[in-house]
Amino acid sequence: MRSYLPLFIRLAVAVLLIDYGLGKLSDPVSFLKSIHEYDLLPVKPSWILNLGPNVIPIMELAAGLCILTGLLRRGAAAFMGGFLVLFTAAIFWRTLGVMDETGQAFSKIVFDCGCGGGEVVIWEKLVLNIALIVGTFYCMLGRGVVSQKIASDSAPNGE
Amino acid sequence: MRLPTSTLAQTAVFAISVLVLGVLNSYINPSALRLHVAYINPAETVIDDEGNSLSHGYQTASHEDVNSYLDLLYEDPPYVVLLDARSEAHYEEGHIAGAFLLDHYRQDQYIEELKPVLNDSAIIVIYCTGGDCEDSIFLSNSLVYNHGIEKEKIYIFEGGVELWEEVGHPLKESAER
Repeated sequence: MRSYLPLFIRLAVAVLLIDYGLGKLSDPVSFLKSIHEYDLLPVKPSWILNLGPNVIPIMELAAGLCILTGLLRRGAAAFMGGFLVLFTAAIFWRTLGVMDETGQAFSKIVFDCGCGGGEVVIWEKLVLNIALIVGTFYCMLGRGVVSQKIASDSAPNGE
Repeated sequence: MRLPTSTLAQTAVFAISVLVLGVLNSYINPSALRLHVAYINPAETVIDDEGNSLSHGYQTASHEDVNSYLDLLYEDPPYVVLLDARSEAHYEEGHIAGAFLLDHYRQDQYIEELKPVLNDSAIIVIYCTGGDCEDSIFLSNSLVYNHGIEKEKIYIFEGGVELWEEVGHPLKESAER
């Protein structure tokens, strides 16, 4: 059981990242609007803002695949983890702004954070993101899912 | 080819690869947004003659105005043109009958066909979802600054589809005007 936990964590992180990436790739317009809502990037020149819906989904998809296969896994996990830290901080920053604007309690804040899936309860999203950050940095350690499976299959005495 | 083994080198290779793939995605993937297009082009804040700060520099149309224009939408050449700035999916779910679809984010699919109609009309009313939706303003800016449509004939129906439904007007659920 103990040996399956790392495998499960890597699989879960990879599937989540691939799902996020595909979701954003399928609806780049909503993602662009969500990024704009953060008011962190300038609208001119336009390519700065437009990089988001073009690069971020590819990054999530690629990171998920790298974590799954083991190819560039540590680099992908490190980069993705760093990005998630920044993105989660941005969500938190925007939440404070919404609280200030609406006077709502932290636990009641709901908005489309650009994370995929439309409007979400923000405190739940922050908890999930923190878990994902921990999981992503965990993926920097040890072997990838596929290489780990191959290694365990080829190990003598089934080790 | 040997892949880098240090985490730092792997991170650099991953970052550069993702950036290149992202830029390629922008120009190869037909459903992706193009890097060079200013989709988000907020209007400059305009101060009117009485010193009031307006959210945008366009004239506005109320739902009563839009309702009174409905009979004029099918004239040839059209005196009034109604433009839906939302996506094709939203348009098909329900739009104001007689409105042309001109998805702000996919303008290149529609603009050439609509340009003669827009040039011939005296009034162009643009709407989107309503509420926080800014796509009607973004589309107006694009029509004025990229396609040479006169600013004076553009009106924004700020209430959009939400207000239209709220006051009890029907929406047409079809891909047809």
